Amino acid sequence: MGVFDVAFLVSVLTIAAPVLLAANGELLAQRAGVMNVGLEGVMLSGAFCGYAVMCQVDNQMLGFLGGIAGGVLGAALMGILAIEARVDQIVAGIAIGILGYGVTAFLNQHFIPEPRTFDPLPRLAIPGLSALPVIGDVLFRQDLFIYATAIVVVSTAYALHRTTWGINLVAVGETPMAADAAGVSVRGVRWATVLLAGVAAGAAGAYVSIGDVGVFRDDMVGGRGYLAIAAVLFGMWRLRGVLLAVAIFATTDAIQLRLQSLDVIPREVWAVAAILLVPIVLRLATRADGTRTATALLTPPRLLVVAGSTVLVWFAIRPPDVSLPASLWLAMPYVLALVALAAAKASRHQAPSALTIPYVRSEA
Amino acid sequence: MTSMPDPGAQTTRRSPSQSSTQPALRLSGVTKRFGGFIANDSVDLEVGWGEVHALLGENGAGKTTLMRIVTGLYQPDDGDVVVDGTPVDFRRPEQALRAGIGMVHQHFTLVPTLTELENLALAPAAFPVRDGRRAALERAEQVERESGLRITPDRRVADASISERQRLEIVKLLCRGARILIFDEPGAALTPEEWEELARLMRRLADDGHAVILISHKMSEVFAVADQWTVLRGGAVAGTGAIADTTRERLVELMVGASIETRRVLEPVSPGAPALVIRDLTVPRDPDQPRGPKALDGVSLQLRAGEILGVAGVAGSGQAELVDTLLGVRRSTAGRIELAGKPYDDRTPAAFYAAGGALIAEDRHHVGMVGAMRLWENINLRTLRQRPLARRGVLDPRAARSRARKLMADYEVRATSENQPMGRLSGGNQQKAVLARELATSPSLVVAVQPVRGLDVRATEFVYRRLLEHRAQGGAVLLISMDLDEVLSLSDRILVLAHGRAQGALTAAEATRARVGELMTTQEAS
Repeated sequence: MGVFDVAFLVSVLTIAAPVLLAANGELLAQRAGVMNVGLEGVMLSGAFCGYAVMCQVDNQMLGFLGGIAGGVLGAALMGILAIEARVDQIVAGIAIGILGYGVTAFLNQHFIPEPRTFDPLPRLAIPGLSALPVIGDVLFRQDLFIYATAIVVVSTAYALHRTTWGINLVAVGETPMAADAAGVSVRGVRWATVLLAGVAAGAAGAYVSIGDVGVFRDDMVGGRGYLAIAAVLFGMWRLRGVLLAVAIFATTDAIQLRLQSLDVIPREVWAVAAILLVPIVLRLATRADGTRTATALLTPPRLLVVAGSTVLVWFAIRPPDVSLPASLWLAMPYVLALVALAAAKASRHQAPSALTIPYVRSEA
Repeated sequence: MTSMPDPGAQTTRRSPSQSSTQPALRLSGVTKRFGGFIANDSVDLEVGWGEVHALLGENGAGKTTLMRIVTGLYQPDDGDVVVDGTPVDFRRPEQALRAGIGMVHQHFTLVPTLTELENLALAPAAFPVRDGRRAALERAEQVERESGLRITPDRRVADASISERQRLEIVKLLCRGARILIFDEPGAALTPEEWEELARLMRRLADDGHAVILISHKMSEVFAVADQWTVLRGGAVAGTGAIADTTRERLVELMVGASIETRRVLEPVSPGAPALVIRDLTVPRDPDQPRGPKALDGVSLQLRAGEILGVAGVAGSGQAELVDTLLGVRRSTAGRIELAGKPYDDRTPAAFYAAGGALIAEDRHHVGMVGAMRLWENINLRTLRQRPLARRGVLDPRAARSRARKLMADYEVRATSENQPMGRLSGGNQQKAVLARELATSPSLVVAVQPVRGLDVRATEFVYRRLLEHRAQGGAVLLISMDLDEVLSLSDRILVLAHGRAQGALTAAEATRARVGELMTTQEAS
């Protein structure tokens, strides 16, 4: 399997879980019309609160509850700003993102006497299923948080598509006036989803600090909050899309972690890059009427893409003796997130119509 | 829900059992003030079970305010609302809904991305994890048995036509147990066939014992379905009675008021070359549905230099679309426009102004000015790029300020200085500044939309005088207004728009309130 072995798949899941949980909560809030751009800050708040509680009581259950409380606190601030004060949601979110970073760094410096390290969450093997080859090791020998995330995602899908609550939620994000006319409290639904998103982000943050590594460092969430928001947008506000987006980000992140330690970029990576680029070339060569022509590729920017993919294919066959600095590898998931957002621009109309728009009962 | 009989309890006529002697809705002395403005002045209204009651009136007559009181959006300052013999005091729309009052708004309260069934299931949920779809489907089937209204449960509302959405809206109200149904201009977006169907439905709902209130401008609609009528004018009841005992002419007269003709004597100006020619202009109501209902349907007009052409009509007859199309912000599907004798087919706002057009916008605050910018910037907006205000793209603020001071003096704009932010000026002074900006460049065509809306008497008089001066200097003015008196007193000729069609062109001599009012309310061309 080369670089892609069982340990690799396990690391993909471990990376994916907190982003997925946070994205799941953010999806609910955005479907109801509130975009919390400060998710990163909320996660940091959860990460720090979880760590702080652990420092006091050294109990992982309570630590996670502390993390959740921290997340709810951050989300409540967002709720007050966005729903009650009707502040511009983007501005409020950016403020919360910065605030989360500053406050946690400050508190960590001044109120945690000495840094401590805890054991990560224990891995629980599910009897029977964990004996399966490969799948057993990857899926059924995981920690409690990953199982909980799976349960949360499944219940979110159920709640969104199979309950009146889900219908109300979608209506509030799409046509708040209609929900209001039906007697559904727009304010209530928005508060509920924002706080739920806080619970999810707080728990995800706690997993990053005390669940996975067992320490807290400044800014340790490291952009996972932004990745979660990007996943919601890239996933076109559908749970399935969010799952796919998180899977792509997590796989990329796991790959880059692997590649940091290798001297030479392995052939598989060049192959994957070429495979990703070739559909773009085909897309560019397709004219508006659906016929494919080579001449459509003869403009300079398109030629560049064609040349790039040719080089990649060549590298896949004869890997060159190069590698990249670790920091560039680190950037990979984020670069991918940017590309994904740009590519998803065309699907922007899938966004809930009332996203980021405060609801004021119209008297006009 | 407890105070109301279950709408599904009886399968046959649901005439309210013990309360048949009580009217469905009785308003007595309902008064609503907004500041110094009286929107409803001691209104009495009685609507009985089993009747279709038409509520008529011009724009601003107080119909909307009255219905908002009935549906719980506003609270009356004075007077009583009695529903089925029980005095009510609605604080929120939900309470009106619970008392059985439902309104079909012009803009539907539906969620386009949900299915029809999901829209019916939309409800505050006591047990949120329950799925309300099952129950909603049962209720919808019950409503179908009672009223014959069928929905398509799994169709997305976005894929449904206007009349299908309207039907869903009605089903929604019936599912929630509404017994008093208010229809706000329901025919506005419908084809004649769809209207026929809706009319039959309204009759059927009334025959089943519901009370139906129909708000409409269209005499044809009113005479087709209503039993009773009430006309509001200036916030007060102008008259009420049975449809059978009245005539179209009588209702129109009540709506527009007895004619006290205050005709301004226009100095004759011999009209010059055509400044604006529109031929067979057709514009769809929804730009995304070019083949859908039309906002303007084959409208033609001609406006000569030195002439004021008034466009009369009730709001929503296509005036806004006409202005948007002239400006180039809305696409037409057919028809040609000529500005100052030249074809004007690549329509953009820049081309409109370049061809000598000027606009006094209806929505001054959003379209006519930039409130946060200073008066001198606003008053020069149209000429900022031209010499002497700008040299090679660099603005000369001193020249601009001095031009602003001159215009302020010419147009009597009162402000602390030319540096005052535009938004701080009074409405009248803002409009004078807009007038200065638009008229100072001597445009060949001025499009003035409701130019005196919200202005006091003095400012109104000033605007009128300036428009007439512009006419005397050989300019052309297209005056679009919902105020009949304004159109009558300023125009050389009057074009009446109704339902997107030009219903007739009258000369000033022919135009009387009654004649124009009649054309304004003509039924759709058949």
